[in-house]
Amino acid sequence: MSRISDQEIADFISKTILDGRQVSTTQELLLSGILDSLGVMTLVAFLETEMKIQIPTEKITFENFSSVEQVSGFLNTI
Amino acid sequence: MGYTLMLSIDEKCEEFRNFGHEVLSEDVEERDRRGAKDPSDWMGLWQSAAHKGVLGINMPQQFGGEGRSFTDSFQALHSLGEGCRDNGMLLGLNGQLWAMQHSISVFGNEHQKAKWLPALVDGEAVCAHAVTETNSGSDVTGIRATAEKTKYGYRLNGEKIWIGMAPAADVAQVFAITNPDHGAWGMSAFIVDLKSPGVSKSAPYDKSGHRTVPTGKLTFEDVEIPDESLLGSEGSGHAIFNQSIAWERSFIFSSHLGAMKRQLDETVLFARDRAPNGKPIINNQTVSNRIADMQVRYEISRLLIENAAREIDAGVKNRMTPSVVKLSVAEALLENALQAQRIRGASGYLTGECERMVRDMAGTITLGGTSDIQRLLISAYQKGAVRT
Ligand SMILES: Cc1cc2nc3c(=O)[nH]c(=O)nc-3n(C[C@H](O)[C@H](O)[C@H](O)COP(=O)(O)OP(=O)(O)OC[C@H]3O[C@@H](n4cnc5c(N)ncnc54)[C@H](O)[C@@H]3O)c2cc1C
Repeated sequence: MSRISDQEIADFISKTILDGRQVSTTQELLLSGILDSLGVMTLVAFLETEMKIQIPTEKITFENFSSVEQVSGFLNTI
Repeated sequence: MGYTLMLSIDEKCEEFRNFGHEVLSEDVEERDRRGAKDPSDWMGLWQSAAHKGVLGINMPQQFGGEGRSFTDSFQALHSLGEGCRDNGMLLGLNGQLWAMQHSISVFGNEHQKAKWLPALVDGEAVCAHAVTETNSGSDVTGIRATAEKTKYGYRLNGEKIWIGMAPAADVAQVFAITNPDHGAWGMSAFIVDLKSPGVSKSAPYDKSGHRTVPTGKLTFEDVEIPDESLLGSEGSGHAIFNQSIAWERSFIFSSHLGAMKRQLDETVLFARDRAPNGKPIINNQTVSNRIADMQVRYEISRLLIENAAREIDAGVKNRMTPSVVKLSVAEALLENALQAQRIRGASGYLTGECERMVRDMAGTITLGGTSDIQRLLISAYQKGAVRT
């Protein structure tokens, strides 16, 4: 498994999913509509590929994906 | 439970093919015309299919199934479709098998599995998969049905439309919001007994294809359901939906593919035999090219579903597979049905098998998520999964 920084995750979201719109690592992503479910799937595919991990489908929850910080906190648990 | 000798997969395929031909195809034209308004038109056939082991093919043996692998189950269900001319029945059976029974067997607790799986496998109960709402078809984040926590369970409110088997189902897997603060991410899945007070079922829709089984609306008005109805944990509805729809997308057309094979063979025979002026139409390259393309679409579809089955049997998770299968197989089913109709000329335009295939297969590009949505999902994965 390879590590990935919070900033790298934020940069990926900004560049690939949001057409360059910046997001901070603490910004709420789901309720705000910044990431729709397709955006979350793109992020999951990115994390799985870059970190060489498998994220169980049942772990793709509000708690684990509501901000970059939450995502990285969750990644530390697997 | 005593041991019974399981048939080899080849024997099982033969048995399912014959059963599809001799039993499930009976009277299909009349039943298609009547449109499943009366449950007696399909219920007996459903139960015969269950008793033949169709709904138990991949279910654990302790719940009355045969516990076969995904690869073998696909083969057997493909054979069922080769014999069976009733695509509505094939859709209903495969829908229950992949979208509902399999998700209860994976996400259900021991009590839920013991309560529901034997009854579903045996055909005593029929299950519906209730996701779609007026404002939530392609986009499941539009779901508005709610399940509010009460002292002993939940109070369910909402309306689900386009639900397969709903007009006569005994139980439904229902998706509803339990935590409105989390929006669509606050969704949970429930197994709801449809005899509960406050549940109403519509009459069957008068739809264009798959007319031999009913589709309709389920309405929940202050339906009190016990805590034990919750499937998985509260808030896991999104994950359960994504997982169960993935199985559905990969395997729901297992038997339709068998029907596609039969249609292909019958089209070859028709084009070989139809010889106005003594020259078989198959000897026109325009016609033979069409049939060659039909063969290629069938072979690719078969390989795609087999590959999806092999991945699951080997424990490989490939998030893109279900969308690739759904998109490709549904489009192939419809295209082959249209080509078969074209090759038959005016005779394919008479009401009957050929035009029924077109009406049935036209529904496959929408149910379980439209082709447009599968393309969006594939693109979403591609964007993340290719390394820079
Ligand atoms: C035969 C049949 C059986 C069904 N059985 C069930 C069942 O058992 N349970 C259940 O819950 N549901 C069932 N459905 C419903 C089915 O899942 C929905 O019809 C389907 O998801 C599409 O939703 P919709 O009809 O609201 O169309 P819409 O979502 O309104 O889409 C209309 C059109 O717009 C396109 N579109 C929509 N959004 C986008 C977008 N973002 N990008 C590009 N194109 C877009 C769609 O591809 C489609 O062409 C069934 C449907 C059929 C036809």
